[in-house]
Amino acid sequence: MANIILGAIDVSIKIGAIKLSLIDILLHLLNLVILVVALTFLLYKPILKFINKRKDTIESNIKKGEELQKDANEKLAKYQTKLDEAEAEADKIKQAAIEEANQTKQKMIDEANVKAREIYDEAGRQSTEIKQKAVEDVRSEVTDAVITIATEVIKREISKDDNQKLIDDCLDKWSADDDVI
Amino acid sequence: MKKLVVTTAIAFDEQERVAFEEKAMKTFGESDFEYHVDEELIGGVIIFDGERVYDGTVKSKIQRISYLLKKD
Repeated sequence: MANIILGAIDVSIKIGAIKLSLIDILLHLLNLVILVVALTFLLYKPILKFINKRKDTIESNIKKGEELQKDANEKLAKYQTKLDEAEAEADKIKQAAIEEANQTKQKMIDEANVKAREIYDEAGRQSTEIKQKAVEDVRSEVTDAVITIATEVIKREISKDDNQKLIDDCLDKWSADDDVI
Repeated sequence: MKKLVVTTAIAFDEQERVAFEEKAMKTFGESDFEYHVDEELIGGVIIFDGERVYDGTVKSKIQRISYLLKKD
């Protein structure tokens, strides 16, 4: 039966020098189909499974990586916010310190000016006092000199008649107003 | 009668003493006189009647002028 069937389909095709038998072609096709089926089950499916598994692993890693990236970005943002706040606080502290230093400096300058003014006024007052004392001393010495000279001149020049006149004038004056020294 | 202590820079002679006493008694009344001389008075007279001093000397006047000149 098989020989009949095989004899019936034993047809050849000739293309140039190449002679192709239909049975050979069918057998090759069959082999190919068997090979393809075998490869599908032996290689394709496992490989596909491996590839899918690998794909899932990669996707899972990518997802984890994205989550980690997101988490890192959130932390970065949070730390950046804290850093900004810390910098702002540091600026505030620095400004406050500068302001306080300026106030202290101004206060010291004002106190120094007041002190300098006091010293200047005191120096002026002392200078005035010294000048006044010097003037008084000179006046006193000049007065003493003038009085001394006047006394000597009067002593030399006063006559008996002058003296008598002085006495008479005193008696007249005391008689008039009862003056006493 | 009260006593007048009279001090002058130049001593009175008799005539001057009489004239002085006559004039003084017009001012002070009847008095006894005690005379002293002090050249430092320069001129004039200072009289003490037992209670008060009447100073008409040149020295006191010069001292007064000195005080006024030294005062502010």
